[in-house]
Amino acid sequence: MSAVRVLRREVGCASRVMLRSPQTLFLVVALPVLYLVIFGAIFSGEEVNDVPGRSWNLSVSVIMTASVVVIGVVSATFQSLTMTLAQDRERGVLKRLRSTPLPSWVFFTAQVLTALLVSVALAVLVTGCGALAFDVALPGRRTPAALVTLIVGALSCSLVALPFSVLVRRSAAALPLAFGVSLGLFFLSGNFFPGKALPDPVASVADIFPVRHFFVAMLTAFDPHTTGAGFEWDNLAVLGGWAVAGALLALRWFRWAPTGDR
Amino acid sequence: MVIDDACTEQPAGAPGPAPDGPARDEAGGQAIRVRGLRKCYGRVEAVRGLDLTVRRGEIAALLGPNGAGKTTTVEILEGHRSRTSGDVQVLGADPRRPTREWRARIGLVLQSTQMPAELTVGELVARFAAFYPSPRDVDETIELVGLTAKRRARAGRLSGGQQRRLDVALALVGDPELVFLDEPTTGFDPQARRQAWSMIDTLRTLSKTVLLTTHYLDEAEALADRIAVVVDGRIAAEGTPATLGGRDSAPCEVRFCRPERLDPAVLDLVAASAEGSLTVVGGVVTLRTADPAGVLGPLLDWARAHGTELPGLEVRRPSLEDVYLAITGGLGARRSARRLEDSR
Ligand SMILES: Nc1ncnc2c1ncn2[C@@H]1O[C@H](COP(=O)(O)OP(=O)(O)O)[C@@H](O)[C@H]1O
Ligand SMILES: [Mg+2]
Repeated sequence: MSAVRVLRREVGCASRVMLRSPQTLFLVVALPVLYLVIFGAIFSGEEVNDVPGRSWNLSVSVIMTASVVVIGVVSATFQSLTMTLAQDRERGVLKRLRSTPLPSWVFFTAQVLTALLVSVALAVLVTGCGALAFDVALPGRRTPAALVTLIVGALSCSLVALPFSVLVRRSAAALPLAFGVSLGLFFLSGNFFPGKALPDPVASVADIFPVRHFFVAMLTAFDPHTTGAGFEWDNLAVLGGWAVAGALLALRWFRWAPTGDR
Repeated sequence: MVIDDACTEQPAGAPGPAPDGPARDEAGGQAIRVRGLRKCYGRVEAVRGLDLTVRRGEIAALLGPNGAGKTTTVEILEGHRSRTSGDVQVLGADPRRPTREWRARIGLVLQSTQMPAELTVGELVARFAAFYPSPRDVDETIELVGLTAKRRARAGRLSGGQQRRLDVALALVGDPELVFLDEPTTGFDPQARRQAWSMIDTLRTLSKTVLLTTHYLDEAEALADRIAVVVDGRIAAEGTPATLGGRDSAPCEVRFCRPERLDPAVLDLVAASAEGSLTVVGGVVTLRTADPAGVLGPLLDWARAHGTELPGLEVRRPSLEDVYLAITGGLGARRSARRLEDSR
């Protein structure tokens, strides 16, 4: 069977695994939508005027929609992949797959592609919720920027998950580690504090990691006052750097066998 | 210390001598050839100089107690674990650097493995079939392992025995030449065990080469053409179920209840002529001899001549269990001795 057909089938399997797992559905779909609804309801109609880098007022609903798109994508990529890969490795699934002629690039591509597809679906869902419930304007002519940001951010967070999953040594540690690290990054990156400027030290720590760059770029794409196409090339470049780093680290360190196998 | 010397890792990629190239392997009909295999985990030497040959089309069993080194050996052959030293050829290649083509010719069941709980039996078998250049029919493979009724069930909902059968289906769906089964029935109830046996037996009709590991004696006896007993990282004995441990040529026991009219002197004479040893306890005669016919002939002649019988007559060869216990018992004792030595 040709590699492309195997790839298609692998994407089918990976997305079925994702969509049939209640744990993933809760973390990836329910929780982000819940964030949007709760924050949106609390701050409904409010505007903030001290958004970093902006001279104009911005509705909190717009900020939260962009923020929750990012939260959803990080959950669908980084969190979900870390958990799947670490758990499957410890349960011997990866070792079993490694015993077959399945090329490893097909396996990785299928995992990442699935995470990207789910990310796109989730971004559409969250944007739709924002538009319907809180009157958030769609990106309009900044749609290409929103899409590119979405893909680059999702790719970056997916590829980072590959080496990160290796740090998770036990199945039971996968959920707390993946969830804990992303929650920490959401707080650090201001995803839960719409429009508030972060203290400088926090901001400079947050700037090391991909989430804040992802959020900033996504907010620009959602901000109706943005002039021009809405691409934040600096932030996208950092995301691209993380993507490359994740891929290189994975090439070097990825493990197929359970911890303890030698 | 000797063990430390043995545990120095061979430089990876060192060109080990490969006396049997692929061509010779085909000709010699050897699927697996292992010479002097060693494997250390830190200071523990799990495999200590193991030799093994499995011919094509043969069902061979590695039989041995837990911790004997069976899984370690099999996983080295599968290309999953590194080895400390030794020559290994599997289907004419060194499993240290497995290629996709080589993997396509091998099917396996790992000792402990699970499949993604969310996928169904049908989806998983079809998924694995897609990995191989010329797979078996998916439905037929599911039928072969008796899971047709569970085709739409998710892997996570299967019982332990059904999951193991799914593992076997995944091992076979690529239509491999060589199949590794690491403890295929551990944890099964007796009925599931019989079913698994008959399934493995059908591999014979598909003319696959099979290397299975087990710590169940009856399993090895029921399934294997050849049994290699592994104790303490070495092959302690090797043979067919009938000949293992010299079982076919070992002394027999001839036993019966002594008829009153049988003169002890006659017994002595018979025993002496067959070079047997004689014990009589509570009226039960036991004659141990390598020549049971030489004992039975004169005794039956005597009985016929006196119009009587030899009540409770039985001729017993050492059972496979006797042989196995003798082999593993002896080595087990030696192992304890070595532990003592190591701990000094
Ligand atoms: N990954 C490992 N790390 C350290 N020791 C191991 C590892 N795997 C097996 N061993 C040790 O090697 C010996 C042989 O184990 P194994 O090959 O699993 O035996 P078997 O399959 O015959 O039960 C045991 O003493 C076991 O504790
Ligand atoms: Mg084992």
